[in-house]
Amino acid sequence: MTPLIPMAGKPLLSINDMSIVFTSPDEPDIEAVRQVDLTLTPGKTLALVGESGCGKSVTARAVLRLLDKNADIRTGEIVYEAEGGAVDVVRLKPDSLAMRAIRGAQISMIFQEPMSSLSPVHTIGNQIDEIIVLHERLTQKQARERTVSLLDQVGIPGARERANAYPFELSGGLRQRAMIAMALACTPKLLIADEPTTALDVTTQAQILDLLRQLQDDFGMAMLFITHDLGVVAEVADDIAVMYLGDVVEQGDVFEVFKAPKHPYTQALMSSVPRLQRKSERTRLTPIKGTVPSPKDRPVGCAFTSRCPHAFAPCPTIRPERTPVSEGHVARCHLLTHTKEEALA
Amino acid sequence: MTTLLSVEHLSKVFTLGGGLFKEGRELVALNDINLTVEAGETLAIVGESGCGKTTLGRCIIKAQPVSDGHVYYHKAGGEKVELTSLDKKAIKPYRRDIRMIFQDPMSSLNPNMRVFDIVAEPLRVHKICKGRELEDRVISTLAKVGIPADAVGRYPHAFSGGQRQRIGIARALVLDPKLVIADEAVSALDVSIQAQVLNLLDDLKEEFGLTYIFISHDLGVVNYIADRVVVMYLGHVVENAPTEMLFERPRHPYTEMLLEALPIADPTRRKGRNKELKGEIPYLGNRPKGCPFHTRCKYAEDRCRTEKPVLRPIRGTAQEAACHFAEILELKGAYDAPGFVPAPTLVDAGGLPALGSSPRVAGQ
Repeated sequence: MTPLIPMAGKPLLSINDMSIVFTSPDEPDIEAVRQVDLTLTPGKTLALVGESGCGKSVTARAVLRLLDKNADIRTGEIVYEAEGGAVDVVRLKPDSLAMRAIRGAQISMIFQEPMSSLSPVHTIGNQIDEIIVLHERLTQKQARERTVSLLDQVGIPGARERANAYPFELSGGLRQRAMIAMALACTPKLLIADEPTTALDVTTQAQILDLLRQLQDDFGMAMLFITHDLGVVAEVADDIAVMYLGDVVEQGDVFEVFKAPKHPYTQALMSSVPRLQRKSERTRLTPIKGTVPSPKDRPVGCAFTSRCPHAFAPCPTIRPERTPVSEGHVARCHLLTHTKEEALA
Repeated sequence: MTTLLSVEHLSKVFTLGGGLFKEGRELVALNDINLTVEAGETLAIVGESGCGKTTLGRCIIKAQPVSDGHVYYHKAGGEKVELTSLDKKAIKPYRRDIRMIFQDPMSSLNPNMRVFDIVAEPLRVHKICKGRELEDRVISTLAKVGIPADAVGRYPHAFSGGQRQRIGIARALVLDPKLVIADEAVSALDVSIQAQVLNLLDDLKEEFGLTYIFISHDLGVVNYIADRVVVMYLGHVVENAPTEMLFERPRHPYTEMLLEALPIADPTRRKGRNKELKGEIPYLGNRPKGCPFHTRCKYAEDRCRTEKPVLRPIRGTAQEAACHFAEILELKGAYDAPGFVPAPTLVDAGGLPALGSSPRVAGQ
């Protein structure tokens, strides 16, 4: 199968300087996402990594404008290169026709827990038909044909019969496959996968990762893959973006970032994962000291200051710039722009 | 080393449904489990969800009654006590020696109790000390796991996930146990916090001379912490081996499959597509005849479909496996070969830039 979209270096979606604030009537505002810049290209997978609460899911939902009512995208833009020209998703109303034409058809999403994101009272076939009929001029019958071939493509055995199954009748792996079939129903150009394998066992996880890779080859779509598991990142990603407390602190080619992480948080994250080594080579883990502070205690400067072993004078007050390290590899850290003497002073 | 705990022919059968006149269906969660735990070792029990690893942990301390078989605890003097035959009252003193840490730190701490009382409760229940002495002991145990003394009056909700897990650990350790059963103790934690807790468990083991049964599904963590690994599949032990041997050359095809599926945090060791990983764990009530794993095993032959293999020692190694062909099969381990160089085809296929001179040192 030839890719439907030619592989090109041109970005499909770029998020520039986005911040998202959650408001509450009786508490001060919380800036869950402070500064996010991401670029997605067709045929490539960008893995967005971070610990719980760092804002990675909120970022993904913002792209589809699926945020709760009390969330507000304060600054920044999300530029999507649609067929008719570039669209700033931030300027669209979440329930407008234009947004609904994009959501599910051109950009679609796989959610973490298939059991709670599929409707329990509709068969999976009906749920997938609905999307197809909604976005394309097809009859119910034609839609079902497409649904069956999709279910077949994602590796559900006996697709025609299984289309009539309810989610509870399927195992976790099959449910996630049905979820993927649904996301692919209208051949999206961008697929957002929010922890698609976290709830699954390792052998099932490996199968789903294989499937996603294969589908990406077939359809040529861009993929934003959200995960907290560095093993999964190493397995699927072309590029990696590391988030910490609402900021993207480092972004670059996956091989390069794993080989030479530049931001102290990325370095610390990588050294806290146990490596698969023989006992003789094994070293004690070096965890990051302390815990993630709440967004309201975040310093004005670099968010990682309170836990960073290298923090020095400008860190708490001045926000580090995006500093290019090599081609396509950027990090936000003062150590990259200051000399060693300044850092030690 | 001396044996601390031995499990012999342990089985656990759950009965489903049924009624006054209708026979319930039987679900065999554990099938003839045999294993021993040596004093001072960390024994990991691994397997996918539903394989019975948690049930086994719970059966050991009789948190659940067993259906058949025996669990023996070897006391300091060499005396052997059969825990499975003891009643609720008689087993109480042994619950001081064998303690449990639970998976989800939020749901295993009583939200209505202050941290001090959570950790003091085992001391009160076992009537070990009271008053000033109790206070000192609770506070010093909490200090060992990194909870400061001024935080003991707070409720669990005021703590982060990692801190809550530390409180759970303190509650297990306050009675000065010999054996700690940690059931997925780090699974719910973020990686940076997970590393803290793993190091803490390591330190405490040294300080108190503990023995761990570490129940986990994460083979990366198991490789780091365990001395010996028991692999379970559908209520059976399929392999029991020292960690390094198991990861170097597994002797059961299921272990190979688990290692194959394990994502490694190093893109230069990317595994790529694998057609051989197939199928899902069958439903427990629907266990295949013969070898429980034959439906997913790529090496399965006719013998596997009819004759059930038993767990047996593999000659020439310290490993035990339940596979008819354990000696013959050349199964693949998870460690990279010395001087490992990634296949050039992988680099080409992904359109990725060529690697530098030392491809192995990713992320160090």
